[in-house]
Amino acid sequence: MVNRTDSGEWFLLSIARTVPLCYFYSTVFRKPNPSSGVPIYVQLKEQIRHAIETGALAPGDQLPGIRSLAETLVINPNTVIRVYRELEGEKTLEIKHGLGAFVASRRNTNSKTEGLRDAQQLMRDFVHTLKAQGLDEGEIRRLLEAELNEMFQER
Amino acid sequence: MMSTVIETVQLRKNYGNHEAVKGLNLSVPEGSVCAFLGQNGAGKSSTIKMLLGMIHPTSGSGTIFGHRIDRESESLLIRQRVAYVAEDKRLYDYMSVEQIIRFTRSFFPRWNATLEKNLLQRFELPKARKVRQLSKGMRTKLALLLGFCRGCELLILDEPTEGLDPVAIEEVLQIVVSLASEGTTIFFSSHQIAEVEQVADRVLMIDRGLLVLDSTMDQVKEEYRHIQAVFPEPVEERDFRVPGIEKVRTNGRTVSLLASHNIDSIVEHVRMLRAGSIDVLPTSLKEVFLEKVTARSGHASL
Amino acid sequence: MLLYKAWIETRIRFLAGLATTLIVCSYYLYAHSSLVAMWTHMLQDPKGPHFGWMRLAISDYNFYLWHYLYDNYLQQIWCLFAALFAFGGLIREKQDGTSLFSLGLPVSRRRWLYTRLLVALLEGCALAVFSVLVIAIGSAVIHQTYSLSQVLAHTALMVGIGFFAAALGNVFYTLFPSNYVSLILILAVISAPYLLIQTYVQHMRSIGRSTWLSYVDFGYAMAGPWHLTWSTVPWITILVMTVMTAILLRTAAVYGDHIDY
Repeated sequence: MVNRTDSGEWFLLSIARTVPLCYFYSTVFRKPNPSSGVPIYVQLKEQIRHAIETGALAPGDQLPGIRSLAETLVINPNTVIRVYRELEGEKTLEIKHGLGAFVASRRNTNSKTEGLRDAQQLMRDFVHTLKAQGLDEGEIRRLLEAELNEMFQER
Repeated sequence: MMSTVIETVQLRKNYGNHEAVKGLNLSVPEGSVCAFLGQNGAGKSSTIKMLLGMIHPTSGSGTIFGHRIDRESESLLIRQRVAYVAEDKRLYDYMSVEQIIRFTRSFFPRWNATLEKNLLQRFELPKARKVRQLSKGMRTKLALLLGFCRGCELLILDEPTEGLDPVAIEEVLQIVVSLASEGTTIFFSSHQIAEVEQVADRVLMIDRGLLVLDSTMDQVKEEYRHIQAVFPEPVEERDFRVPGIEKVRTNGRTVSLLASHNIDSIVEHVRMLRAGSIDVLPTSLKEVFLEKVTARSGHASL
Repeated sequence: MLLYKAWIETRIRFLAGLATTLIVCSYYLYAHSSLVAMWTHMLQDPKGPHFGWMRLAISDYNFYLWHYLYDNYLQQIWCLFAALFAFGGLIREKQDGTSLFSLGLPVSRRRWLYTRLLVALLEGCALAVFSVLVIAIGSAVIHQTYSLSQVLAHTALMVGIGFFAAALGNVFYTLFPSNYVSLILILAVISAPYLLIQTYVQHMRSIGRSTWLSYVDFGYAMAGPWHLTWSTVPWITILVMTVMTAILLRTAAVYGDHIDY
């Protein structure tokens, strides 16, 4: 064997890596449903968040490489890149260059992401209530915007 | 800003009186997996063959990696850097699997021998067997292998999964994804919407030789909406001429709209028409495809 | 690799060509003594047919070889196979559904064409050399001596001018969809006038008349005069045929560049 790693050998290696990891991934990640109206990147993001919430992925855990995740789920690698980047922006993940993506330590997630998540749930319930009372989208939006304008411009 | 790999300007192809491609402006960015979606006979193969110099454009121009597609000398440079797998996946009958691999690899200095070995195994291709004796599915796999292993920067696949079983399709898509993550740009035509949705990040839709959609996959999912509304009185199609509405279907008091953008204004407009109920629903690429294609068929029949 | 491909595509035809050449050459070497005996008998018979060439064929083995092989059967077989070796190409592949695979490779259309014709030419040369070999061995077997330089000169003339047949065939294959039906039609279209003209002009010449048709007598040009010397080599004919062949090749190349696959 030539002591050289060209792209071809990387391919083989990645396949070899995929076999045992595949099993692990399949317990954490499911193949996104491409035909649903929800973009694949949103589905994947939800899966990662869910895995962190349920503890399937613990802080400090390494996420699969872009390529192996793309191969395992058979989705576009650019989608994986986008998800990792956005989750990094939300401080859910930490990207260490040359090493890969890791679940951020809980300090960060607790303070920001989980807070936001709770707020999102509150908001969702709130909008549902208004909707059930017969208000339509435009009305809710206008009310909200008026309220926000008032509150933040006063400051 | 990513650079553009494939670019065409007003590309046109007539066969006698038949206009196969009617002024196509394509632009495929580097590193993307771009799907070229259309019905059979929509002009996909004609466009691809023009890109590779197999047929000559009636008018218009195009470049791949900056090389002109309509000049034989530059087309040669293009074909050194582009791997192409045609829709017709028949190969030289009289060669064995091993012979045709050896033959093809001699033209590509960056041939990926490891991938070749790997794919021979995955596809279960018998090396010694003559192409003549391969089943149609096997031949398709061999044709794809001969494309995948060229080590090219751009892969153009015309209906790559046609005639393959679901397991093989998934394998092929997996290789596409793998090559894409190595940085290969992939341009593939298809009429299988499910596979397009799965791996593509860009989608170009062609119908009767015209481009009807050029967008990213996420954009399609995030911006395209299906709007359903019920009115107290019967409504007509002409009530819905608002920018962003791609397709209107009315049936008495109910209306169904496909909108590409401008959703808020459209909803507002529908409300102004005193709609009793309005539902804004996400839509799938399949719906968009069907609407775009039938919309054009509708116009053509007028 | 392109040469390799063209070779595998034509090797069966090539083997058939070798077999036919072997049969025809060895038959006329084998028949030499009986034919000579027959002509001697005919000449002795005052009522029998008397042709000028008979005496020459009896007395000069070199003339005999030229008369039967280079002026007739070997030439015809060589032309037929040269045209067959040139059969194929991208248009033919279009019928088989492989033309897009070939055109997807970084090889220009002209290179495809010229490689194929080069292989046809090489096979034609090999066939001609093989015929010389058969003549050499066969003549030794029947104890006849011949002039090797004459045989080689005739072979060279046959190949040099005869390549026109391959070029002509190639133009037809480029113009028409190359399936086997059209191959047979093309061969018929090429060979019928060739044979008719050759026979007619031969007849006119034997009764001492000349006709304008001799200018298009391609077979006569290939055969040349029976005894070749530097002064009797038909240089002008060679030049004209070379130019014609070049024009045909050029036509096929230019036309081929414009085909939509």
